[in-house]
Amino acid sequence: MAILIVDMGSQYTHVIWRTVRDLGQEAKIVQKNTRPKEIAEGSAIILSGGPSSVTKDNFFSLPTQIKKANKPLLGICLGHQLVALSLGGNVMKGKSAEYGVSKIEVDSEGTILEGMPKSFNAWVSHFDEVVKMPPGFTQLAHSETCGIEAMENLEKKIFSVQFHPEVWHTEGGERIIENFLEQI
Amino acid sequence: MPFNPDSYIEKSTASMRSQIGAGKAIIGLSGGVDSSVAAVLAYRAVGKNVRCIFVDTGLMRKDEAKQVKTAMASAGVKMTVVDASDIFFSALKKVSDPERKRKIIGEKFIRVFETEAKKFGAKYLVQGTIAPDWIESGGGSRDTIKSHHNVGGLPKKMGMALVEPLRDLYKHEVRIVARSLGLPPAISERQPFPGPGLAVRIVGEITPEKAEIVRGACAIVEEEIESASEGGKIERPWQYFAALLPTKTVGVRGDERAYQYTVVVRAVRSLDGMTANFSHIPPEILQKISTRITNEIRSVGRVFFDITNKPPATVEME
Repeated sequence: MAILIVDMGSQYTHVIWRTVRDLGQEAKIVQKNTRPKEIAEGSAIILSGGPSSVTKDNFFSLPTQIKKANKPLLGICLGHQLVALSLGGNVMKGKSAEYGVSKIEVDSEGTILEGMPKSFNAWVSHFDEVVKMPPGFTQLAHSETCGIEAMENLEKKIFSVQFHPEVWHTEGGERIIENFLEQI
Repeated sequence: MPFNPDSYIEKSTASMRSQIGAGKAIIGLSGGVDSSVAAVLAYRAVGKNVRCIFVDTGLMRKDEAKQVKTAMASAGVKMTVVDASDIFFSALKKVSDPERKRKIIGEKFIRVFETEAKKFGAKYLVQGTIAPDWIESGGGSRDTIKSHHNVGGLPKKMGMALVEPLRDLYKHEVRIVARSLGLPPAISERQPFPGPGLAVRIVGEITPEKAEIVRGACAIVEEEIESASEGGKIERPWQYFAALLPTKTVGVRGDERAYQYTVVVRAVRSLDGMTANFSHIPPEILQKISTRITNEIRSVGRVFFDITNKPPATVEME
């Protein structure tokens, strides 16, 4: 069973595919209107980032079939914001945007940040940010510019990060993706 | 599984052989690692039925055609040089918009390939298109960051089909394949060079005079960076070059007022070109580069060093 990577329009969707492949697992890129049948054939879901803004474009929710999928889920960037918005949290335009390098401070390793140093440099590209986590989620990290850089609900196996673990410039990014793959 | 060059080479030559069959193909060679690898793979697939064309757009670097011919010859690949500089300069006259420049260049390349294909009787065009090219050109849910000259599809009336053996690869993977194929370091380790060439290193309108300026500045940056990295002073950057800005600023030379062009020096560190950070080049090296540029290229009076990461900037200016 392949890990499904839902393409929300990120520049790095294919890089997620390459990273999962380099970690020894099979991955398949699917479109955001992917059918329940296709989702059922996957072992887990990774939501890529994308160019839309949840606050500007009235974009709003995880596609229903993904919400109902009950598979381990990792949301990245826009994916992280969609997870928050769909499950009872909130997303708003940040006071400042972040592009390029951002220093991530780990509040709690949880599952997804296991083995990561107390602070590390990650690559980011966003203006909107999650301002309220959904119920049942734990905050794992923050940065100077953005309050909620990573969160998870281990019981439901839903994990999400604002930064891009899949790019080379994020220190230890591959470890984070590996931590997610271990949950499958 | 991590990328395996040998199984990739086997799969892609077999796939090209089955796609091209008994037909003929031409390939646009720029001297870059992507098109060079695609050319060698094409030779392995269909042998004499592929012809390699190097299009001199007038926007190539110093001595590029000569260097590429030599490097490719050492890999057993013969190439034909087509001088199309007049075509490109006149098509780009007065054009400032970067996307328009890219579209025009893409069109002109197709015209030149069409002519060469007719001469050879080729129905297939092989291109060294790699993943970042089609990713950044947009499509699906993706925004168009910049239109890559080799991603636009071929006009139907050309009656040719595209063959792109490197579509799923990133630069670092292409280099692994190049080394596996035994290509010389002059090709396998060559820094990326944009398809539109110096056209995207001249911000604003393009003229042959500006092309000469940026060509000279690029040569100086390449010489100094390569010498510093060979001397162990710096890590060799992923990409390093000079670009010309359209604005002039005031200077003073030999007690006289000057009003001259500005050049940007760019050097970045990256693995796959998708994210990059500006290289931390020591000031003495930056000073050497700046001094050489303003001494040797008399129409340039000021030099900046680009300190922006990707994102939010891209590696090239346009």
